Amino acid sequence: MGKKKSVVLMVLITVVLVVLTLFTACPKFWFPWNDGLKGWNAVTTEFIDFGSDYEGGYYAYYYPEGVISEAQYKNDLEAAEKALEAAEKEAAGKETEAVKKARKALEEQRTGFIRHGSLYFDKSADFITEGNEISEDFKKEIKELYAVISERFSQKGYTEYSVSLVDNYAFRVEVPSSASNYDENTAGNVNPKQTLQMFALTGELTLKLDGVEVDELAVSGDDGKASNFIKSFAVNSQFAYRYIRVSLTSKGADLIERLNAAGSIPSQSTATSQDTSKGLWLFVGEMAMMPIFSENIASSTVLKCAYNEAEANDFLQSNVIVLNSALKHGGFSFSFRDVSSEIRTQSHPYGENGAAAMLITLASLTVAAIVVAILLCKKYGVVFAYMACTYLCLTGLAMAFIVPGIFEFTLGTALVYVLGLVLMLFFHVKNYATIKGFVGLGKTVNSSVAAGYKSTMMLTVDVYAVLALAALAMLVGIAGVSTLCWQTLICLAAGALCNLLWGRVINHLLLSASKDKYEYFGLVREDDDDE
Amino acid sequence: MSKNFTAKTSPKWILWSVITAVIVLIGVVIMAIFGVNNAVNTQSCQKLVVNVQMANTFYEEERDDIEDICEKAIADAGLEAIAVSYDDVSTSEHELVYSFRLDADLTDLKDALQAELREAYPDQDFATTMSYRQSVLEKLPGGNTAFLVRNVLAGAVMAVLAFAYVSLRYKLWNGITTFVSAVATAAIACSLVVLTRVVITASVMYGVLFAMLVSIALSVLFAHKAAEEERSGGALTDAEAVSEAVPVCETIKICGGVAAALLVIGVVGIFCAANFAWFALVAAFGLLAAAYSALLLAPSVFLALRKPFAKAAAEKARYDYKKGVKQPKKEEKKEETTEEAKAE
Repeated sequence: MGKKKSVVLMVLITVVLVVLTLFTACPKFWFPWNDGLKGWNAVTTEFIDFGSDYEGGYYAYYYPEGVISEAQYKNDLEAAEKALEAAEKEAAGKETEAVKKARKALEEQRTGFIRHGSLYFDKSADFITEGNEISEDFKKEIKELYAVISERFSQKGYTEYSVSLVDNYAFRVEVPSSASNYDENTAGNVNPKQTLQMFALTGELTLKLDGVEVDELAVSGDDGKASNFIKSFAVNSQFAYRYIRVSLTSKGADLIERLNAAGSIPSQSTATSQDTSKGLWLFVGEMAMMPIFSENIASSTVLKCAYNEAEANDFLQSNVIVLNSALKHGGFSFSFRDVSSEIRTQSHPYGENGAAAMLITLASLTVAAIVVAILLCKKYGVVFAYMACTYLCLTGLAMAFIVPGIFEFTLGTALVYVLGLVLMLFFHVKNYATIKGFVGLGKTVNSSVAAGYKSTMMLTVDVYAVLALAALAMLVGIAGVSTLCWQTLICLAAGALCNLLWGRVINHLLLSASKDKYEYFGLVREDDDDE
Repeated sequence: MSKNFTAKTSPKWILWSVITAVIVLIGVVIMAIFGVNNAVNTQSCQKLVVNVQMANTFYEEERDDIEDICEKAIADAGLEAIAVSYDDVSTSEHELVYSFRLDADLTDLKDALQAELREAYPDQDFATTMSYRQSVLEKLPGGNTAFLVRNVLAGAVMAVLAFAYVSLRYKLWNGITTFVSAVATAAIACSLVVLTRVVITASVMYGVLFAMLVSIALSVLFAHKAAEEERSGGALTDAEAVSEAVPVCETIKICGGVAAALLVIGVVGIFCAANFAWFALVAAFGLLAAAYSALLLAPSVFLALRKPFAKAAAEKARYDYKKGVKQPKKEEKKEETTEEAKAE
């Protein structure tokens, strides 16, 4: 390749790589010409989901209806006391109706609850027996629900979540802030708060037509169970869309056929509002999950519902987890109080700004690797600078965009990034040593380069291939380990690409552009001496 | 590490196997007696939640002051919080969550705290609540048992797949060495984690699997060098040939590079996020185990396996080899003596 052509190509590649690197890993800054309102957000800070190792997360308390926290109880008590005080003040010492009412409310607040640890149980709740004891059925159900809720969060794919019991009868659930950059305007964006609310649903799966449960499911006992009519729910894709596939049993197929024949299932084109009291809807407890329209009937046993943009994958996934869970485990006799007011953000117990610190560390390590390569390989080390930037961009972009749902960046991810970087540097330096060796044997630089790459190629392929194969085994693992599998594969694929192909291309271009090929490799030309 | 050293250490496979077994055994015994050191977010603990509601918007100074009062009350009660997290519920509501060990008695502290806060801020609303984490068993994602079983299974599958690849690409005994090396690395890394009482989080599993990956990469380098050594067909003894193939420089370069990175992550952790430092330590243990396996255990296992396998391969290569028929030992000896006599 000619020098001019090489220089032009190198300039173009450099420009593209610099832009991509800025796009991927440049620190956040504000544009001065926009009054500091708009700024540059790199992919790594904006789109990567950070696990709880870095950013802390959200936690929520699930209190069953009829159970309140100590803080809530004290607040309510204090409010009742103040109300009585205000009423007495207003009545000026007289026993008015308002005073009587306020006194009754205060008395009810004082005597209407049973204390258990830091929880207060309303005596009028269904699960409190006549002897003011917590019923055995409720205890049993709480135990079962604990397993069900844990299973839901496990299926969601969070690397680190926790479901713990507070004083045996309330739940405390923690999830990583995998979507700290959650934007409510973006449809289907990962929203842990939404997930926390949705996974608190404890009701039974029902099918309602115009707000009334359909006759077949309204039967009490096992015959009325939804699992007799629906096999499973799954998220599937069609073109650029995602939808929920509902697999029906033969009974379910008959039911849908009957309703459709009777004209009870409305058409999507005629449905004008999201009114859950009209048309056919799937409910979990009192929560309407999704409507069923006549267009959704794909075949006698398959419904394709809730068509949405690809970005809504995460939202649909959460829906499907809850629907399958309700299908498998049925409903519980109690529900939780509104969870939305109980959701809190949680700082990381070991320190803040972990994500920023790790990103800066990884970027610094990448720069350090480039410096080491230049020190060891002279100008051939510049090739590594291009490889490292490419590696950074490929891994950063892939981790940000390869999965539309949760793909958490954990401490393990940082490790596999470092492993990929070190392996890339190792093979680059090995190539250099081999090329140098061939030149020492008397070969020309060009043939030494070709021979050097050839001799190290199989070893490079072997190492990357065996590591990729080993990484695939991590799919067997759960939570963060299966996510780590894909992240390891991304790092290995990027590293292998850089070592086997991209580095060679860059080297070819730089070598073509260099004036002295020996100097390029930091070699000293030995003049032939005939004597 | 000189070639002489590796030539001396390579034949001692019993010694390295015993050392490996002892390290693992000590780890198992210590774990059985003392358990593991679970992290704050993976252990059973009591949480004291101080909920503060201000009549107006919170100011930084007020928040700091309340935190100081809480910390003083905790210190006066002779207690120590193992973790603290803060949460702004709203502009006028703030929550401080203090985690204590299960055996800490918080009853008096709770009342004292409430009294001191009321004294300092008579017009504000305060509530302190206590909650107990139930059990460490369900703290890991998917439940402790499921998490461990599935991820240990993943490690085992990883070792088996590496064995299959290396066996197919190189020799069967290379594959077995890779498998042994990977499994030993994981076992030693886990044992070191238990022995040093490093804080256990779900991330420890990443460190162990990472160590296995490094070990597998080093095993492939070893297999490659061993194959090259065999192809060159030099007049070296088995032990010398194996010691030549030990990837000393490669191990130092790869492990050194990763160790330097871990050092940086650890230092950042000390100043910024303590869990980074713990995690870097776990990964460093894994790296140490991988280096030990690559430099000492794997060559000795390889050498021990190579002899019988090479003998069997040589026997198969004989012109009069018949499957399932063994040559009588006496005849072998006779043949050897006649060959020696001839040579003399």
